[in-house]
Amino acid sequence: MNICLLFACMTVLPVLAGRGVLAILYRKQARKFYIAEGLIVGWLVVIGLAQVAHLAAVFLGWSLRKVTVLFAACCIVVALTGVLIGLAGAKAGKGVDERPHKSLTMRSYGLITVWILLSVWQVMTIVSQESVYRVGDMTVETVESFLQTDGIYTVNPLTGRGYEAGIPFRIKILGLPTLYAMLCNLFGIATTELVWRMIPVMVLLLSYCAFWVLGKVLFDSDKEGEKRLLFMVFTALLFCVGDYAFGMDGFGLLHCGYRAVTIRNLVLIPYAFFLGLRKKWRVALPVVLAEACIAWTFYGMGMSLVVLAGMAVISRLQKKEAAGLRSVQKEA
Amino acid sequence: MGHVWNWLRDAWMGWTKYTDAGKLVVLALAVLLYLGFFAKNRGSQKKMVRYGMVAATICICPVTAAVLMFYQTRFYDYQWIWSVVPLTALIALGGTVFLTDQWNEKKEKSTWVRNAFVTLASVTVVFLCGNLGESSVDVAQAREDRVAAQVVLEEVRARYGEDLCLWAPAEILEYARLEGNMELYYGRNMWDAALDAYSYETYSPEQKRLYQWMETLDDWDIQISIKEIQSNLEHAFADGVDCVLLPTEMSDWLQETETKESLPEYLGEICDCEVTELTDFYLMKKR
Repeated sequence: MNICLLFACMTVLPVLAGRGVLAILYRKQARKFYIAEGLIVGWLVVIGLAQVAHLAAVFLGWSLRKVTVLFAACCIVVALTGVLIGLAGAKAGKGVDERPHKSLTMRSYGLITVWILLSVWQVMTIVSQESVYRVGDMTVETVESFLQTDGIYTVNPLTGRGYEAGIPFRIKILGLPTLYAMLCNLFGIATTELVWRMIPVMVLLLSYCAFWVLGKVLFDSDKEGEKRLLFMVFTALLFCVGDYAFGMDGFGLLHCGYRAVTIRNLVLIPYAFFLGLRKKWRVALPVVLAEACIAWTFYGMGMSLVVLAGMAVISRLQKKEAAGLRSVQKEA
Repeated sequence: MGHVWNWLRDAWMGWTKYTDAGKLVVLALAVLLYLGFFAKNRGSQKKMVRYGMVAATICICPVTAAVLMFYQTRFYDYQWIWSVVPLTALIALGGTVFLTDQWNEKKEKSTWVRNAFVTLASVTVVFLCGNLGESSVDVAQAREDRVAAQVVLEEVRARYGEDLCLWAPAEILEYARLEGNMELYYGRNMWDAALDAYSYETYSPEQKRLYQWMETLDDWDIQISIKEIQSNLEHAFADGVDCVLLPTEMSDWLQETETKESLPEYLGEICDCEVTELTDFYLMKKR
């Protein structure tokens, strides 16, 4: 029951919040956004809210329960605001997707079936729980210590004893374990259950959303629906066979989906590519900030910033190239 | 100068290691060549391919890779600089472009059998470059280890509660902090050095020595004495430990054969602790 509620909240609330944020950022183009994109942006908002709660606990000494209430209240307010903005957009005729729905071919059904089968296999691998790779990671211990002490980093998660020398400040300000602890608190789910099972499944879903929107922009013609499906099948296949070494995308998703680097590599960075290709730079800042909130970065500048900068440079060069070609054609 | 040299060496060795286990990176490079020089790319695809080529070159070239490693901080190893290369997206893009080109019904040679063969061959290439269906994590062993540790930890909790400091072999301590609030004499970072990055905490030479001793207790070729056990237990109890788990196997390596049978009672007497025999461990609680 709690697990169903958790998944309902982890999908519905972020979608509502995400659609609201996108509607604010891109008023005129609000109908061009997909639910998948709304979910990703909603999760960026959730990460941001969790970070606020985390910093309140670290710097103001608030208890975990207190910041959980704060986090839950903020999530609900943001989601409601998203609903109101969405309703206002719908009234104004902006929020309605008017694209025609094409009927699927037999080959499309086949591709969808293969994609679903691969995804089901991935979910089964994740929920088996024993396929977790724990070397160099102490997320569960950290979350459990937060829950047991009702505070953030009051004891060393690995020993349960008080700190003598302390922890690096850059680790202390990362809010991902607090987000997990707050979700455990809110839904009454055991730490290992949430961190090793629920979150990786959610990250798998978010990852597919990121690759889906990326596929949409790589194969953007209405006639390329089948290509998009094939792109997703290849993505799913690569997740399955790419788990041979730590650091590969498949390994991250199947064996440590709860880690910040997995979220970064499989959700934030593919989404950053989508933003770069679509030139939607306004959402770029939340992506960079989300990475800075969850992963150790170079003073807040992470890998998604490099990706976005790289895409911006390539876009600029391509634009110049196109302009040069046009002027040559004109001259000819 | 030494630092710069180290960065460069790590960058070069990292590439060698990264391509050692599987060949998806190599496949991605092949896909980039195919998309860049043989396939027709439009707008977004062209941009993605160009970006991929530049990013992959940066990650392969030791000098630029070292710069990127410096940027991503020492917290991460070489493989993480490949985060900036969209390996999965590029291979998926290449596979999609290649297959849809092959499936094109307008092509003269396009037949059902040929399409099926090309599809199968493409999937096989992906499998050959990946894990070939073998999981990189030994799921059965992991389950067995965790269940075994949980059974022992439950027994400790049932007898003495959570409010204690435990010293036990790594196979037990590995899972002791996953639930509950039991304190440990030392944590997982004693044997997983990567975890040291998360705190400034260090262990005393005495704790390190006791860890080494504890981990040798299930070796088959050691010889231990009662005096040694007594001395180490006293050290641990004096250092704040309340409960100790020693593998029952260790009684086989005792030099004093006469004490083997009555070891639990004997240890209880000389160390002033309560000794209980669990399935594979002696559980000792300081009185």
